[in-house]
Order: sequence, then structure tokens, then C-alpha cells
Amino acid sequence: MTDIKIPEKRYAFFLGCLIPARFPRFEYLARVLFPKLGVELVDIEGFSCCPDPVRFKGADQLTWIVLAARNLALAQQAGLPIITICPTCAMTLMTANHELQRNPDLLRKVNGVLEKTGRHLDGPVEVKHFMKALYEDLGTHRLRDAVERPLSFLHIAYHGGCHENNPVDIVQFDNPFNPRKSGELLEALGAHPVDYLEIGCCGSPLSLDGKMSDSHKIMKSKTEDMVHHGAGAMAVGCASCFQQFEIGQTMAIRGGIMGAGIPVFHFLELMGLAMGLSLEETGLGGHKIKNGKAWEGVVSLD
Amino acid sequence: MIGIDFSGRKKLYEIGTLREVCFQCSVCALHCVVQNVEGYDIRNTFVYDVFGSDDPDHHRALWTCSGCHKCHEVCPQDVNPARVIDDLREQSFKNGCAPSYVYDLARLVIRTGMAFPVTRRTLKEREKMGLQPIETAAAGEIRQIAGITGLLDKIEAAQEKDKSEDRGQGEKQDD
Repeated sequence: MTDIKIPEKRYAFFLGCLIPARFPRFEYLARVLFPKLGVELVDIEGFSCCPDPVRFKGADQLTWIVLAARNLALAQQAGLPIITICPTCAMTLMTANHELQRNPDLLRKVNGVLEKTGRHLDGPVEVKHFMKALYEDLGTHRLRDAVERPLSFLHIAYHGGCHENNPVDIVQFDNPFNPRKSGELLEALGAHPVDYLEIGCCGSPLSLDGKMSDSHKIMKSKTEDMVHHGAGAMAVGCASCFQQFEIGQTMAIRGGIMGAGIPVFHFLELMGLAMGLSLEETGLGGHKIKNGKAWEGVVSLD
Repeated sequence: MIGIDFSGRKKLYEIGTLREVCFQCSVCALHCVVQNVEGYDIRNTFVYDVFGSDDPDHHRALWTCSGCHKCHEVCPQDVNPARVIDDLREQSFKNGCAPSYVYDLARLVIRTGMAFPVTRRTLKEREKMGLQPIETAAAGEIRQIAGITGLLDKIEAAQEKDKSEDRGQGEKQDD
């Protein structure tokens, strides 16, 4: 197992809501794995929901940006850039940064509210989701050096989700219509990324809105496309997409809409496996879709 | 030929985010997840349907959009449908017409500082992994902010509207 290194990079660790409340394993993995890459994750007291840029923003845009600015102000006070393990949280915080920077009147208005709670935001704060931080701040070589068990048996399709690359001018990570960087990160773990055609949303907003059969249709066409292009498994960097593919596929299989489905892994789980954690510690035992050569390969690692 | 209902369009202009320049090329539909909801096709896209709705507050798919912004990225006219949808949602929420789960979400964030409820099972799981319990220290501050921005009032007004509609229904049934 790679030793914990002296930290070369420190971030304010932004957990969001879905991961600590539903998928604490991903939080655990980030806390175990990042220090091995020379990263210190600093907990900031008082971070709240980012808030959600889809439904909460739709409810009230002023409250949305004030709460985002409040989170940014907390990191600013600690003098640290923010790393999130949820791309959607990063998108909220980056969008708030962007809007407040280009609109000084809005920044004044937001600070007017924040100051009543004893806080103040002074200009933008650097924010990155963990995939962007891995790629830009650490580099694929750093990840490759930390790999103890290359995942060479994995032919895997990466699903980027809605907010890993969008909006392009704000997130500034990769081309959402032809992403390459996530593939390079998978290659660093020894896996073989598979190109496929579908690049859209996983369908989870349809599930949330009660349109289950439409949601399952999207998921089915996406996973079929991945298999058609030679993938035996899929990876995601978003916990909401993970939930959609893991639980959604299980429901769709039960309902006779889909066949066997394909195993889905969060990128942090793959990092854990490649960096030498046991299957138990990676939390893969709890997965529901366990089939094909990809899963056999994973099980044979222990 | 697709018609546009101008009363809905007028509402969009009042909010100020609709750009006249949309020429209905349908490119936004290529990557739109809501487009897959039954009833939409390439000549009647989700985005046109929202832009042309005569009652956007109650539009059947207004709250389904995932905010992925791909419609904006591909638009040759630089219309930002995601932005228009945000503004329409805000109106719909204010008028008490958003789905109940959106009001529940706003209440949950104000009460706990989190957008997902924390179950006992999660807390146990966290403890087993040696993770800290989830703190909700920010909740008081968030409530204060929601009071200043007017979100609390909006939630309360929607609740009142709901109650009076329920009473109206009840009276109708009594008749």
C-alpha cells in the first residue's frame, strides 16, 4: 500500500449532501485515497448544501446564490481552494463565482445578506471537482505512480453526467461532446476506456419527477450503446448517476425492461481497487449489478 | 408548422430572459433528456413547448430538466434555454405551482442545511467506517438567510394557497 505522503496540496473538502447522506463509502474512499496522492483534505465547519443548481435554484435564485456564496466565504476564510467529490456541487459553486464576478451589483446584494449573518465574500474562490483536481493539479502521472494493481482487465465506458463539463465556459474542464480527460484518468488506473456515442444525461431527473419508464428507456439505450462499443462495465464521477445506474438498472431488470445490465463503478471505487484497497474496504460487496468478465476481474483482485 | 401561443411568450418577455433570436432549429433537442419524455419529437421539442406554453407555471415537464446546459452549448443563436427554465421555475415556485417535492426540498435545506434526509442506517454506516456524524450547524444561519431573501415567505404563501385550495375542494365535495 502506498504510504501517506507529506501533503503538497491542501483543499477545503466539500462533501455536498448526497454522498455523506446516501453513499458515505465514496466519502470514506476520498478521505483514504487523496492523502496517498499527497493531498490534504481539510474539513470546514459550517459547509452546507451547495445548494442544488437544478431544483433549489429553480425555487429561489437569490437564496441559491447567497447560500453558495456563504460556502465560498467559509473556504475563503480558511484560505483554501475547494475540492468537491460531487461535480454538481462544483458546478453550483463555480457558477456562483462566475455570476458574482461579472456582476458587482449582485455581489453587493449577496454580501448585504451575508453580512447580517456575520460573513462576507471577497472575490472568487478556486473550486474544482475531484476529476478536474486529479487531472489538473495532480496529473495522470501521479495517479499512475500510485497504482499497485492496474485494472487492465477492465474495458470500461465513462459516463460524465450533466455537470462534470457543463456549462463549458464556467466549469472549463473538458469538451462535453467528446470528453477525453476522464478516459486518460481511467488509463492511468490501467483500465481501457471505451468510446461510445451517447453523451447525454443518465435520466435521473426523470426518475425524480416520477417518469420512471422514460428514465429506464434512456438508461437502457445508454448501456446498450456502451456494450455495443465493447464495454463490460461503466464508470461515473457523479453519485447521482451512480444511484441512477445501480438502482435504476436493478429496477429495470426486475421490470423486464432490461436484460442483465452492466456493472457500474464510481471512479473513487476504481481508484481504491487500483491503489490496493481490498474489495471490502472499497465497498464493492454492496453492489447490485455483478456480472460479466469485468466483475470476475474485480473479484479476482482480492 | 408550429404555432406559438403569444400569451405564454409575453410572460417570458416580462421575466426578461427569452431571446427573440430563437429560430426553432431544434438543435437543442439533440442532447436534451426531457426530449425523451413521451410526446416530444424533433418538430415539437421540449424547449419550444416551454417557450410557447400558455401556462408555464403548470408546464408538465418544467421541473424535469436536469440543467445540463447542453442546449445552451449547441445553440447557434446563443439562446440559453436553461436560464429561461430557471426563471420560469422561480415564477412557478413563487405562484405556488411547483411540484410538492420542490417545496419539501426547500424546507429540508432550511431545516437541516442538507438536501437529503439522513437516515439512521446511514449514520450507522458512517460510524462503522469511522466517519464523523453529519453536522447541521449551518441550519440556523440558513433559516436566517431564507428569511431575509424572502424564500420563507414564498414557502408559507404556497402552503396557504394549498390549504385554501384543499378547503375549496372540500366545500365542492360537500355541495
